[in-house]
Amino acid sequence: MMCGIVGVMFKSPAEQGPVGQMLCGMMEPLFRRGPDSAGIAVYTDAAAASELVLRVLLNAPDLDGAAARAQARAERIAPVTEAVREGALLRLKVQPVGEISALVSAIDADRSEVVVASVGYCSEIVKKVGAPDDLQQFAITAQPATHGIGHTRMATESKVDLAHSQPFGARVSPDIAVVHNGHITNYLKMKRRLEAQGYEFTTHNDSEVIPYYVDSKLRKGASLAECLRDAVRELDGTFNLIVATPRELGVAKDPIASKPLCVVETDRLVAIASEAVALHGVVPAGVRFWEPPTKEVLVWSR
Amino acid sequence: MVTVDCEGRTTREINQEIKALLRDGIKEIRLSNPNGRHNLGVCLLAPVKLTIDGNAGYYAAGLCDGPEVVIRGNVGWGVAENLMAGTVEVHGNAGNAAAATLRGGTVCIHGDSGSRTAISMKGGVCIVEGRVGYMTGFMMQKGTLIVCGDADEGLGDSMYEGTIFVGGTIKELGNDAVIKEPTREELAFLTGELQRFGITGRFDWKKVVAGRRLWNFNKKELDVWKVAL
Repeated sequence: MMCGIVGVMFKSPAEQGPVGQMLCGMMEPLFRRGPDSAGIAVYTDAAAASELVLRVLLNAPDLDGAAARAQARAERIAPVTEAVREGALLRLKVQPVGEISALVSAIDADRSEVVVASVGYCSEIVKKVGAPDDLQQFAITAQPATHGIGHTRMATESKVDLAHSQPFGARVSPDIAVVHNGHITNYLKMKRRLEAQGYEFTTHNDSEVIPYYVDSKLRKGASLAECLRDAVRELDGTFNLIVATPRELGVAKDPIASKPLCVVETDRLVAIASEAVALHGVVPAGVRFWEPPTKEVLVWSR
Repeated sequence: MVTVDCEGRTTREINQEIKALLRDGIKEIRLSNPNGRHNLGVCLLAPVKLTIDGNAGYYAAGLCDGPEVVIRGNVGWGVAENLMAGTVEVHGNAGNAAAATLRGGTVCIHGDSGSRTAISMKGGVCIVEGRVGYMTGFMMQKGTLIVCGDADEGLGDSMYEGTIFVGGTIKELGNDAVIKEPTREELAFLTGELQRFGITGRFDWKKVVAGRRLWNFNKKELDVWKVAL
């Protein structure tokens, strides 16, 4: 499977920048790797986060009606302080809740119409069907941010729609987002294992196992690096993964190096992309990039 | 020397301009602002000095016969694929499958090179000043691969012929690859090849060749099957 993935992180805890715009700029030259859909996850300062933001995918002819019903279901669990619809994506801001899964289940009650795509105190995922050229329609792309990841998809094994687009969030845990280039061949086995732990899958996309896998490991106390090392061992198939959490950005590469990935790091930032052509807008000319070796796990923190 | 600015042009336009300059007898061309673009400087079949001044993407200087190509940056997958003659020198890192199916001439990568470097190499010389990735030299058939740094897993897997020299450590040999002692003549050859590209240093050379157990494959040897597959 083709697909293009990107990631960027400002390394200094004090620094924020136009991460959303940077990700969009990096994805545009990668559109040939995946013109079917595109999306980004953008992380803002974790320390300043106070309310929970949900991104809900709307799949109904009457988008306003579906949005209103999703909002009403959310309000049964937690007070909604803001609701904005951007195309087929509803952005709900709610006051902090105890158990996020109860809120997600309530909104998800009619999955044919609405599905929660992501939840986050300091992150948001936005997606669209088609090439990545107009992702900047989403307000989050203009906000100062600390880090983020992006994906432009060439679908080979499941539907082309908003729900099957990446990045995927962990849904029942906040602020975990994943982009994946490749194919997880033991997807069904991993899916059954995660379903037994209570994770509810909303798509037929093999990549959806990854955020739940990461979440299940992090909940058990693993560090992101340990989690990704386990992923390299337990996930079968071809993959380059970029995983984002509130303060970390991680990369994992499969044992047979079947997908391309370029990494570049300066004193100020780290940038990752499927192809070098995506890196030229974010790092100075002459900075050396490299291709991580097989089974490589890299994690940057801020 | 003529400079071709890649900015604002399609890859096809750039490569067609290079061909037009060659027809006009130009012998030295520089590409500015390559910005990681794929397929630059491909199918050069005449003696020309081409400098790519920056990073190049996939298949830079692929399918060439006779040029002298210098890339002042990093490259993506498949640099100098199937080079027949001439030189391709990369002043940076290379992605996967650098010098794949190399048939002649010399490829020199001054940085690290990714997985499957010199896969199915059929002649010529490939030099990597840094380390090489997984399955480097896979199914090599002829020629010389010189790795000054370390080699990752699967080095020389299923190689038929040819020689790999490694100056650093070898994480793991591939199937049927074996280590032999380099001869004095071979060490002199290595020194000469490295000097051509200004590479100096002290290296603990290991010579890797085919063990030839896979040359005459007996399908009844189950242990060999298990290892090979």
